[in-house]
Amino acid sequence: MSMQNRAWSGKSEGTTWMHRCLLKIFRLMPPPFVYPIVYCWIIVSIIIQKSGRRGIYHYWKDIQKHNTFSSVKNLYLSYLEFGKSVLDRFAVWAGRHIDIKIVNSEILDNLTCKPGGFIILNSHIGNQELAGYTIKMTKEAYVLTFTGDAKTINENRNSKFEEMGLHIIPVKEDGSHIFEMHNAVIGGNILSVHGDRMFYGDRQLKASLLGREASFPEGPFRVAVAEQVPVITLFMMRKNYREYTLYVCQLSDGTYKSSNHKEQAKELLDIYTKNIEHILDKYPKQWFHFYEFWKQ
Amino acid sequence: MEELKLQLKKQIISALNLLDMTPDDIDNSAPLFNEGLGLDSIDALEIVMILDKNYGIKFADKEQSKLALKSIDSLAEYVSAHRTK
Repeated sequence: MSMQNRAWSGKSEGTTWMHRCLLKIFRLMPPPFVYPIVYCWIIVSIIIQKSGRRGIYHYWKDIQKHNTFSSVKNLYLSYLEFGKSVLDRFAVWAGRHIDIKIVNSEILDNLTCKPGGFIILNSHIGNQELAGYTIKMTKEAYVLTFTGDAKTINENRNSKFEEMGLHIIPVKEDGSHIFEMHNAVIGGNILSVHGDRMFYGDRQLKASLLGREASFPEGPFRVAVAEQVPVITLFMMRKNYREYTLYVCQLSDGTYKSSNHKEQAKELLDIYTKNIEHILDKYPKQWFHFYEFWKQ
Repeated sequence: MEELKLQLKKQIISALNLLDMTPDDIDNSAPLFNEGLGLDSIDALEIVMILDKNYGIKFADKEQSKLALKSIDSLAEYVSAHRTK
């Protein structure tokens, strides 16, 4: 598979109309009343989404080393976990309360209280977006977003984003978003960017993840080391519709052992993948890459 | 100006870790990006940071940086006109 094929198409599922309906429903009732819809919807999703189905099945069979029966069962459970996570996000948008236990909260407190910017390297594990909506930030945050997402769902996200002090940096074909990312960091703000999805063109870094080599976009890691600011990752992991645990993991304080930026980027990537492995040990079903992550 | 161009080339080669290149390999008028030297936006960021660190240059807008980063010639002209260090 070419890198072009592996790259994210740049658009999340669902329409503005669907999003509005979900918000209205969640203002009337809590998520468990809506979950039964997910039980049916995910069966349809599994049938029609060949790439997603294969990606998650191979994740269980080849990476997590489960047998065929267990892989099929966990394929369904992974989709179920994802469906519930999406609905929980809408429930929070609609004003529903969730309890969040924060592990290593002092890391986040220190970074948000001190002057200077920092970078959050996100991943498609757990309910990442919910983390942005629920934690209190004392600094402005800039989130790198696919243009497709920005156009489609910003209408519903905008009010929540404004409330949280979140600003969108859309990914642009000419790469000029890199400068907006730089300006956000040197302005002493928070820059939030995914470290596990290709949308920076062909440049990639390789690293071992769960025992097998995988490709990661070089951009976020190169930007992080070039800026020489602290880098963290957040994992917002679901326990049930009312309880989440937010894991705050420091990846770098802005200094590295290696001398050049390319090697530093690899050093940062290796720490990032180790943290992903650690969280997947605890929450293997919350791996939300619905395509063949390891195959290229 | 020629000395500044050479200095810029050396700084770019070092920052981008272009181990197999020498300043002579970079044509002063050739585009730095895409079909020229083949640099991309991540490299552009590294160059912007070199200019900030070594010459105190901060780009006010993206269009300004695009014009300045076109080639070594345009970069040297911009640096000599706007440097504060």
